[in-house]
Amino acid sequence: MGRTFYRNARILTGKDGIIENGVLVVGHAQKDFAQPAQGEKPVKTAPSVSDRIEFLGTEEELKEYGNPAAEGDEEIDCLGNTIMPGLVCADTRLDTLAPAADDYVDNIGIAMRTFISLRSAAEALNAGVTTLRAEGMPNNIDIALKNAVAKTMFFGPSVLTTGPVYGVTGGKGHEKYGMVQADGVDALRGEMRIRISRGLEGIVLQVSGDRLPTLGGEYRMEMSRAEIGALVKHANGAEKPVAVNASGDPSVSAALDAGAACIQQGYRIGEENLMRMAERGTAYVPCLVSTEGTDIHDEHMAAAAAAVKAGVRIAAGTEILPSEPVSGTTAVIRELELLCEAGMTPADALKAATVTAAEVCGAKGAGVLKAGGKADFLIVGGKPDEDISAMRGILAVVKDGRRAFSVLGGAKERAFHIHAPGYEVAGGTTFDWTEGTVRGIRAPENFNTKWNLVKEI
Amino acid sequence: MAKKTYLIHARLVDGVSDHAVEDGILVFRTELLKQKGGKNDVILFAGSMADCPGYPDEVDAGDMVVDMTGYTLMPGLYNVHAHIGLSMPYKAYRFDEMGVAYRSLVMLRRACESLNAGITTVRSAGGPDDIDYAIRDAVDNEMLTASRIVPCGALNIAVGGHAWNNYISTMYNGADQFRAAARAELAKGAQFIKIGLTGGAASAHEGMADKQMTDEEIAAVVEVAHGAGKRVAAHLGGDRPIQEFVKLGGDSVEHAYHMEEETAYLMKERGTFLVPTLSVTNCHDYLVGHGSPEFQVRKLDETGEAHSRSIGNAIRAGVTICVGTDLLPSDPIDGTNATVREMELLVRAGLTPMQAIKAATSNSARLTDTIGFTGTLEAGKEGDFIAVKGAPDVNISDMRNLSMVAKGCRLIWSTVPGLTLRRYNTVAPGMELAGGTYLKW
Repeated sequence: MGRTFYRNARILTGKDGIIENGVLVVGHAQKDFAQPAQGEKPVKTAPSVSDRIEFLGTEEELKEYGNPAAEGDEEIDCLGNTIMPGLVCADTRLDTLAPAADDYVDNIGIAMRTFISLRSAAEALNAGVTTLRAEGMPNNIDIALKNAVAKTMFFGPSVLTTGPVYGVTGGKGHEKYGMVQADGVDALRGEMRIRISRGLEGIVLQVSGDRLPTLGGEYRMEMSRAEIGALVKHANGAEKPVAVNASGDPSVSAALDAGAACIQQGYRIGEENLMRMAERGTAYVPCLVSTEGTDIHDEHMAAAAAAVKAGVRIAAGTEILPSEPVSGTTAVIRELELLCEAGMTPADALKAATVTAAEVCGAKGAGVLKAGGKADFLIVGGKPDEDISAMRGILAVVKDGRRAFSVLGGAKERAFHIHAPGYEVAGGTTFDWTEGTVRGIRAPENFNTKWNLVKEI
Repeated sequence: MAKKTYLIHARLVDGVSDHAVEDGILVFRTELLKQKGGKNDVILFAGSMADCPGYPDEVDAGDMVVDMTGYTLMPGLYNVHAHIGLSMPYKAYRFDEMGVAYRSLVMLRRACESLNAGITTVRSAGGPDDIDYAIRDAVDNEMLTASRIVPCGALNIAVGGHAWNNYISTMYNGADQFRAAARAELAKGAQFIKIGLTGGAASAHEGMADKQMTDEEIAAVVEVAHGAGKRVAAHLGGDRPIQEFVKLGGDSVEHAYHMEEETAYLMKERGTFLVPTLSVTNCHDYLVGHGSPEFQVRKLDETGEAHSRSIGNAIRAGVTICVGTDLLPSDPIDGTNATVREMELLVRAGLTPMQAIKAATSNSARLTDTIGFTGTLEAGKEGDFIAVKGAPDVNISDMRNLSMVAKGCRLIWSTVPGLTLRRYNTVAPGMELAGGTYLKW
C-alpha cells in the first residue's frame, strides 16, 4: 500500500522531544476482504489495519536511514505546522444524551444507545481524540465499541473500557441510567467481579456526593471506607487501575488510603492530600470543562491550580463528550485551555492530554510518537506547545495511519464520514438523538426466555 | 444554499416505464437548511433531455453538470427480505453470542455495506432486540447514514417453529399471544409484521412446508396489522399454506418453495406480493463455505428445482415480484452481491431484465409502502438512485457495473469519469466497506 511522508513538520514526540523540520513516515499495511472475481469463492477474512510509524526524525536522519520516498508513496507538506500525538481523553461517557433527554431509565434501548455512542466516538475522532477511556457506560456498549474499532468494523478512536460506574444506592449519578448501585462490600464486589470477567481496562468508583450544609459545606462521602478499600483492593488485584470520583478530603483520603491510582473530578482537594498524590504519583483527572458554568467551577479550578503547584500528575479528560461544543471549540480542547488557566504550561497541558493520559489509562503505545509505534497523530497549525489556542486549529487527524480528515494546505479531504455529504459529524449533545426513537414498549409474554440456550439434541 | 445537479446524457430507467429513456437527464436539488431536520433535497426532473425545461437555460454557476454517456441511471435498489444480523453458519441452539450492543454494531455495519452496494432500502425480515428499529431511527433522525431500514422487529413464530434456534425469532403460542406480539411491534413503528408460517431450512426437524401456525393465529396477526394499515409477510414453504395465507388476507409471500399454478393465479387475483428469494436455493457453495449444518444444505439443494418451478408459475401468472435474498444484501456471491445476483436469478427464472429492475425498485417500494417518496426516478421524490455502466434493462448482468450511489440526492460515491468521489465511509480510509458474512466479527 506504500507509505506516507509527512515533511517539513515541527514534531512533538510526546515526552519532551521536539524535532524541528522533521519527517514522519507512515508505513501502511492492511488485511482486507477481497472481492473475488466471478467463479471464485470469497475467503473468510479477519480484517485489520497495521500501519506503523516507520520513521521519525530530521531530513538528514532520513537520508541516513535510506529508503527515500518512492513511486506510489504519498508526500504531505506540513510546513508551518506541528505534528503531535493524537489526544487521549482519560474520562468520557460516550452515551451522554442531550440535557432534554429523559435518561433516568433506559427508554431508548441498548441498540439506539450503542448508535448514539458510535456517533459520539466518531465526533471525538473528528475533534482529535484518537484514544479514549469510556466511563460509566452500561450494557457492555463500551466493550462492543472497543471491539468494533479494534476489528476495523468501524473506524473510530481506540476505546478503553471501564464498564459502568460503581456507587451506592441513591448515590451521585443515579439520576442517569447505568450506574451500578449496591451496598456492602460483598454486593459491590460481586457486581465488579462479573464485569471484570468481561474484559475491562479499568474500574471507576463514585464515592462522593454533593456538598452538604449539614457537613459545613463539605462533600459527602457516600461510599464507606470499607467498601472503597475492598473495591480498590479487588480491582488492583485484577490489575485494573481504579479511577475514583472523589471530591473533598474525607473521600480523597479514603481513596488514597485504599491505593487508588487516579482521582477524578476532585472538585476540592486539600493541600495535604495533594502532597500525598504528588508523592505517590497518583493521577488527577479533573475534567475542568465539566464544571465550567456551574458554582463548583471556581473551587474546582483552585484545586487544579493547587495540584499543578504541588506537582501532581495531571491527565486530561472531559467527562462530557470530547466533541461537545464549548466556548467556541470542543470540550477536549477547552480542557487543555483550562489546564493552562490553572497554571500548566501549554507543553505540560499537551502532555496531560497525550502521554500522561495514556499512562494513566493504561493505553499502551498511545500518546507518544516513535519509530515502530502507533501512527495516531494530529497536524496542528502553529505551535500548540507554546500557545495552547493553536489547538483550536486542528488541520488533520490521523488514526492508525489513516487520515480521518485533512484541511491542510486548503485540502478538503474527508476520508472518514459516517454521514451523508453535507452533514457535520460534530455537535455533541446539542442534538437530541432520542427524539422520535422507539421507547417504552414492553416485550409481550413469549417463550424465548425459557428456550434460550437450549441446545438441540 | 441550494445547489442543482444535472446528470445529462444518461440512459434512464425510472422504475415505472417499460422503456428506458435513451438520452435522459436527472436534475436534483441539494439543500441543507440545518443539520437535523433541515433537508430540502428533491428530484426536480427525470426524463428525456428534449423535454427538460430547465436545461441548459437555468444552469447556475454553482450547479454541477455531469455527462453520464454510457451509464444508466435507475432508482436505488431494494432488498426486501434480509436479516442484517445474519451470522453463518446457523447454530443448533438459541443463544445471544454477541450481546445486544455488539450485535447492533454488526447490523449497522451491514446496513452501511448495503448502502455502499447501491441498495438504498432494506426491508428487515426479522431481527432481535429492536435493533432494526434503532437503525431506522438513527438514519431517519439524520444521526448517521446507512441504507433506509423498513423494520418489523422480530420474526414471530410458533413455539418451536421456523428458525426457533436462530436468535432472530420470538416464539408465541395462541392467537392472543400473536396478537400482543403484533401490537407491540406496531407500537414500535413496525412497517409490517413478519410471521414464520411454515417450516424451512433453518431448523433440523421441520419440513419445508410444515404448517406451524394455526389459522386463528394467522388471522389474529392479519387483523391487528390491517387494523393499522400495515401488511403481513409470511415465511412460506408449501402450496397449501400459501393458499390459506392468501385467503386469510396475507399480503406478502416470502420464499414460496412449493407453489402450484392455481395458487399463483390466486395471488395474482388478490394482489399478493411475492418475494421469491431464489438466492436461498442457489447458494450451495455459500452454505458449504460457511460450514452450514448438513441438513440445511441438503434441504435447500433438494428444494432448488421445485422452487424454480414454483417461481416460474408465479411469473406466468403475473404475480407482483420483489427482490429479497435472505442473504445479506451486500453478501459477496458469484462475483457480485446477493441483491444483484437475485435479479439475475429472477431473469433466469423468466422475468425480463426490465421486470427484474422493477422487482428491485417500484414493486418493492409498493410492498414497503415507500413508493410515495422513493423507489422510482420521478420529480418530487427523495432521490435514491444509482448509476451502472451499460444497459441493465437489456442485459441484467450490467447491474454488476455499479458506478454511482446516491441516497436522498446525496452522492455517496461515484466512479463516473466526470465525477469521481467518495463522500461516505464508515471504515478506516483505504479499507473496503464490503464483505458481508465473510468478515469475522
